[in-house]
Amino acid sequence: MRRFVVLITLLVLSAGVLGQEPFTLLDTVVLDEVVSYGHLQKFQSGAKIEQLSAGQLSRVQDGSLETLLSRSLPIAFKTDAGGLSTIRIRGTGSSHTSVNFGGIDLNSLTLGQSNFSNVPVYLFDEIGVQFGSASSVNGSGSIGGAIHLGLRKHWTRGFKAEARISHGSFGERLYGTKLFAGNGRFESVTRAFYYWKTNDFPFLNTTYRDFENGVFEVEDRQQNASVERYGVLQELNYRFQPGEYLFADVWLERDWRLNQQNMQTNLNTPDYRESYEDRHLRVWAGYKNRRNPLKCEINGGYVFDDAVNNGNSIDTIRTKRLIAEAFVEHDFRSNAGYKIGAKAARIRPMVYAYNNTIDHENRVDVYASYYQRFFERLQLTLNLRQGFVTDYKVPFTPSLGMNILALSHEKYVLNFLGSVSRSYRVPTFNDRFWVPGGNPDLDPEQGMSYELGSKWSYCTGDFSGNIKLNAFLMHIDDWILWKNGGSYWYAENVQKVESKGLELMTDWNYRLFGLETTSGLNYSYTSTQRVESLNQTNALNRQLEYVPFHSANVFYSTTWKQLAFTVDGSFTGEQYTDEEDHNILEPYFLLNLAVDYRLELDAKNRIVFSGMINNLLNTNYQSSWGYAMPGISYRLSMSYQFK
Amino acid sequence: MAFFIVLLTSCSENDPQPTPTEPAVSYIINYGDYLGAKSTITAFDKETGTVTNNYYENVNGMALVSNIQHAFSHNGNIYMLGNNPDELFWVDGQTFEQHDNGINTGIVKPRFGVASGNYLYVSCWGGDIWADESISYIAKFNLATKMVEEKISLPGGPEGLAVAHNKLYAALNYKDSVAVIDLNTGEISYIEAPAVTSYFAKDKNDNLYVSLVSTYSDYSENTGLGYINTTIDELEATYPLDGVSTSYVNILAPDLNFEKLYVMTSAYDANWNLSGAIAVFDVADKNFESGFLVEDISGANGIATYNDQVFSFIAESVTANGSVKIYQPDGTFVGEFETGKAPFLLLTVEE
Repeated sequence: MRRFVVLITLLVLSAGVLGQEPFTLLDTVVLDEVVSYGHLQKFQSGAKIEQLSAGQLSRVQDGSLETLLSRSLPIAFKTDAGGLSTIRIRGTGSSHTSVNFGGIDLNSLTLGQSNFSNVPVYLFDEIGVQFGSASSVNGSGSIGGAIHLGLRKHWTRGFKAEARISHGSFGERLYGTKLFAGNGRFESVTRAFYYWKTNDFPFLNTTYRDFENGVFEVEDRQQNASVERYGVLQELNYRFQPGEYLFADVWLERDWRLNQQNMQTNLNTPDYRESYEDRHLRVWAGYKNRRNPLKCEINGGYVFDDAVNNGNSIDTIRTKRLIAEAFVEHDFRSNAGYKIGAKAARIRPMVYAYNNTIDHENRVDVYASYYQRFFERLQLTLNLRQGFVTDYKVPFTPSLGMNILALSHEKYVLNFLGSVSRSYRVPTFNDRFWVPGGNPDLDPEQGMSYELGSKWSYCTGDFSGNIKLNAFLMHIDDWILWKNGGSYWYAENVQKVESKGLELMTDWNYRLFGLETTSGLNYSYTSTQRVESLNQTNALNRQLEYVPFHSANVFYSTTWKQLAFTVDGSFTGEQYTDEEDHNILEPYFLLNLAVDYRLELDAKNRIVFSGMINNLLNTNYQSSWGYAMPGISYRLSMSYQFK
Repeated sequence: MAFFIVLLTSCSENDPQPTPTEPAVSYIINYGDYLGAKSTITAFDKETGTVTNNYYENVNGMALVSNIQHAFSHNGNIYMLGNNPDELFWVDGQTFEQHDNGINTGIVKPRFGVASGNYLYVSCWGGDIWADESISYIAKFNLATKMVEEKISLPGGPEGLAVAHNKLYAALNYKDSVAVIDLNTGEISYIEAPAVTSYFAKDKNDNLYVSLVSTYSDYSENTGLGYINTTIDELEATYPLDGVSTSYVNILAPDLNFEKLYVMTSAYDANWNLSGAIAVFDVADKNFESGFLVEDISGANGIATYNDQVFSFIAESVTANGSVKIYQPDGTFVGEFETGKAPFLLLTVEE
């Protein structure tokens, strides 16, 4: 019994540690209704799902999802200076990670990927990252992983509000507000933000060529790389009783940027401008009843995505989606339960370059999940999913997971986890229907993923922490690339990739000189190789492009009275940028510093002042070959909170 | 009097014409990746078979900074037109050293260049030609002042250029015609064509073969070759050929004596995969040979003739090195070697 109590205490404390805001390590934890990653874990025992802490989110309120994830987790991104960034979890491609807002995958149906610079952290309360295959739960696209964007249900009584203003280097500014109103049963939450960055940072341009004077580098300034984003996310929630409620989320967003030009063009054609604009409407609504042993959810959504390239609104790049999902979940015993459900989507692409054969596409997924606990130590889960797509065959995707409580002691708990899962991705509409070159007969990309992990949680007195070690192996087949056909390029299932690696994640809470302190270290080793290819290549069995062997994060945060001080650093190892050994990105380390001060005006009013210095060491680095990145920069922000 | 008779009889029309020669070393231009790695140069010595990649970087100690769209030799220099950034620069034809700075003023989206007298003429799209076909022009570059002296407005997306009889011919890629610019008067006239045009090959009579292509913005079933009589500026004949390549690479290559003209085309194989092919136009018979010289070329990215052989440039992607596959005129495969990324053009320096 004592071990059971200790286990629960440790689980609560570790969740509390992860979810801590600055200054609140000793505060009372209010159990708001959350988008629960425990819910995701329930039917995926062996899955590695990391929830970013409130502290981590609060430090990047003014930034994008890429800024948050690259500083918090050992995940590789290919990015430029703020306009475009794509993710590579465990060496997989940018279209192999789904980004989920409720039941909506934000990934573009035309390009297959999300621009992580366009997802604002400010709008969300929680962000979770699932490493590894998740197609058996999320459907098409989650070969490398899945990101979950969460909104917490506050069930506000009365009114509370936040207003935020932020100003930083290179013309950066953010204005944001969150308004909560409700009577404990009904709640309206409005979140809105505006972000602008001129992005005119200085850098050393090494593409300068003055043969007559023998000068081959010059101080330059990035031109025409501005970014503007704004959006509003409106929630309407109605609670019948705890665990049963209606909700509706409407998210409108416009993301505009001037495509950052490479160093050569910036120097020689500084007036060159090329814009890209994304407009989105995402609606997700439903009914959730999690009260009884028999739980259910019925949800529906609508998504409108519109892209405008360089002001050309005649050549449309649009998609519309209607989505519906329903499932039933039944814990028929205290140690076992199942879930069955279905999800349907009707998609209409409206893209100028598609042939006339595609007017709309229907997709239906049916799925079933089961979990069983044995002797309070072993939990096994099984997921089965089968998708159906108009005129297209989709593979069956099962997954099996396990979680073993190996050791349970007064001071520590040791778990082992494991999973095997199959995944897939339906080729994008561009891959299948672009004229010329689209190929409707492409096979889906397919993956098999194997994972083993361990988690050691320790707690004694003022010291607690976690050490997680995971090993993974993934095979991805029929990876799609565009090939040169002589007259035009065309899509083809070209290569097979094998990815394997180790991930170490640690976090610790303790008192240092009497100060509440949190620190941690994350490290990942990722070996991702192209093992087969239809193309002639010198890069067979060599590390894939834009996947570093080594990446790491380290962070340290301490509070003293109303002050919080944070240092975090991230390391990205050497990266190939193409299939030759010629243009290799050097490894780099970025160090950031943040200080926060909370001023309590009275019981209801508070102002938080924040100051941040990014890239403190003024490291000169590139994340995409040939594109400059900013050096040292600052950001000052002020957030007023009412209640 | 006798002397003149001897002189005249010693130079009759029946004397054999001097055999055209080509230098031992040729240079292959590798386009690179538009957004990533820039162009490189591969040097190929036909006598020793030596291949030297990254030749420009080896000679000059630094990499090229643009994607070379076209290159040509004139008066002992090699002139190169770059994209992203847009520029015109040149290197010494013998040493490949660059001593002078290039220019970018007046050069916007350059496509092709030719020399005539003291000038270079460069076809420029001027911007996003697919959105506005009126912005293209010909840049007239003064070799003495090293400046663009004039921009000759020429809507329709000029691509390939040729000079004959003191006239500049421009193949228009967004208009079914060839523009003719009188270099003395500046007058512009047009020769209508059954499809948009892309590149020229000039024969021994200074007449022009022009490629007729079907593009995304201008579909046509009349693809093949056209023959322009440059004395009277008329399209005298067309020779149909399906699937002439629409790539912006070297798609026409005459042999040394202009007896054969090789044309890059594409075709579907038995499994309906698109691949490249090389068609052969017999200049004397004025028709295409019934079969291809080579077909099922994966990643076809341009053709050239050199050393009495046909060079096929291969680029299956822009992230991996390309290669050259060499064939005899009868289609026999000779060998291949690796180049930089996306090889598309071979040039030799005028002797």
